[in-house]
Formats: sequence, structure tokens, C-alpha cells
Amino acid sequence: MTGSSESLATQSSLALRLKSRIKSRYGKITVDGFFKGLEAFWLLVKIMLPVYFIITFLKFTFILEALARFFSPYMQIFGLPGGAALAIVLGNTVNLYAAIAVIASLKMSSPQVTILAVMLAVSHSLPMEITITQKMRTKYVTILFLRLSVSALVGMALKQILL
Amino acid sequence: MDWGLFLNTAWKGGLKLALIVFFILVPLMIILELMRQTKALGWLTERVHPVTGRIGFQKEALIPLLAGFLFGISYGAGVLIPEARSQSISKRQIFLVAVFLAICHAMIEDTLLFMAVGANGLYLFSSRLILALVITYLTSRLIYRFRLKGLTDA
Repeated sequence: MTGSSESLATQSSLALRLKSRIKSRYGKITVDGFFKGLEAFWLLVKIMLPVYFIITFLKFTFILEALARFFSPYMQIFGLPGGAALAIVLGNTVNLYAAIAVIASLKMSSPQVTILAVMLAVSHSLPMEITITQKMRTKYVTILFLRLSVSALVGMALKQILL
Repeated sequence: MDWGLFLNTAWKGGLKLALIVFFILVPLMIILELMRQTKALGWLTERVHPVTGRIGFQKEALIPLLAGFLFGISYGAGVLIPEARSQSISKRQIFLVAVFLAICHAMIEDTLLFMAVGANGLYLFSSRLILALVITYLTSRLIYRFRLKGLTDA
């Protein structure tokens, strides 16, 4: 199984030199894993940091709040209070931690919290995660559409079941 | 807008993000490499394949699938992108992994996070898992029957 997954990192001269010094088989594998980890780390950081900076910038502007105000009347589709719109907007753009902070400040029944949680669990951190899935050579529109529509549909379905 | 505060938050947060990714991804890749080069992964694959095979996954898709399922999309992709480049996994399989993980990923972290603010963990976990299984199955039937190339290629 090793042949198919050789990467550039594990064949670098540093990795090869380290491996030649280590006698134990597991030691050699650990070196392989470490260099693969470095390669994957660099790959991810190059994608994640720019997106992170843009999203942090957005957080400092009024854009996200305006979006939340626009969406708040539609929250009753999911049986949620208008304030939940801010959790959904922040969760989908920034990350789940931003949404959790909003949820904690809202007064909702426990079925409502569950509905909002499932919706956010399906669709969140879209700029970051969509950019990453795109690097897997997958069309981002497809995944974006999938996540948003499944999130909305599951919200409506759970409203019928839970409320 | 407060530029000083923005720059301060941005570089500190960026550094923190990079550190978290480093300290999760590197040990994860070492563990995966140990599993891959010993019999552990083969054993696990044999156990999971009866389920994942039925919804359209081939065996080589299982590592990124499991990594993403447990730890999140970023770490799943950290595993998958290098494999995608080494061409040991087909484009359709990658797309299926992306579809499954889009709906169902970081199942430990997300579930605990929402349970902490009062959500029902059972609903949360099972509805995501069932949705992901069903949608992945339908997608795999679709792309293999109709050869929907435009859907999968970036």
C-alpha cells in the first residue's frame, strides 16, 4: 500500500537522511508521517489564512449585521425567533463559535435550540470550508448549494417534528 | 472602523489558527501513516467497507472520509488533497467524499459544542449522519448512471 501514496515530502533529502539513521520500522514510518503532516499543514495554512483575514475584516464592518437584520423576518419558517438570524449569518460566514455565542444569549426552547443546531451543523463556516473543498477539485457551487438547501430543508422538517 | 484592533485580532487569530492546524494535523498524519503501513488500516477498511461500499465509496476513499468525519473538513482535506494529487483516488470518489463531508463532518467537536448550549445530541448526530448517507448514496447513483461530469469537476 505504500507505493500509491508516496508524496514529495517523504522523498525529500532531509526525510531520506533521517530515515537512513533510524533502524526501527515504526520510527521510519513516523518520519514519513511527520513530513506528510508538514506538507499537508503548509497546504492548508496557505488556503486558510487568507480566508481567515477576509472574514475577520468583515466582522469589523456592518455587513454581517445588516444581513442578519434582512433575514430575521424569515426565521419563523424554521420556528425560530428573529434573533436567530444573527446566529445563522455569523455561523455561516465566520464560524460555529461566533454562532454559539449568539445562541447562548437568545431565549429559546430546547427544541428550538436543536433545530438551530442541526441547521448550523449542516451549513457553517462556508467561506473557509468551501475554499477547502474547492482545493479537492470539487465545484464550489455544487457544495454551497447542497449545504444551504439541506440546512434549510432540515430546519423546516425538524420544525414539523419537534415543535 | 478600528484598524488597529482589526490588525491585532487578525494576526493573533491567524497565528492561533495555524498553530491549532499544525498540532492536530501533524500527529493525525503520523497516526494515519502508521495505520497505513501496518495492518491496522486494512483491518479497519474491511470492517467499514460493507457499509460505505453500499453508498458508493471505494476503499481508497476511506481514510479521508474517516479523518473528516471525526476531525473536520479541514483535516479531512489535509489528508485528501495530497492523495488527490498523487492520483490514487478518482475524481468521482473525491466528489463523493466532498458531498458526504459537506453534511457530516467534525462529528465529535460539533456535537459536543452544540450540546453545551442545550441542543439534543442524539437528534443532531443522527440527522446529520442519515442525511449524509442518503444524499451520498443518491449522488453516487446519479454520477455513475448519468456521468454528470460538470457537477464534479472544478
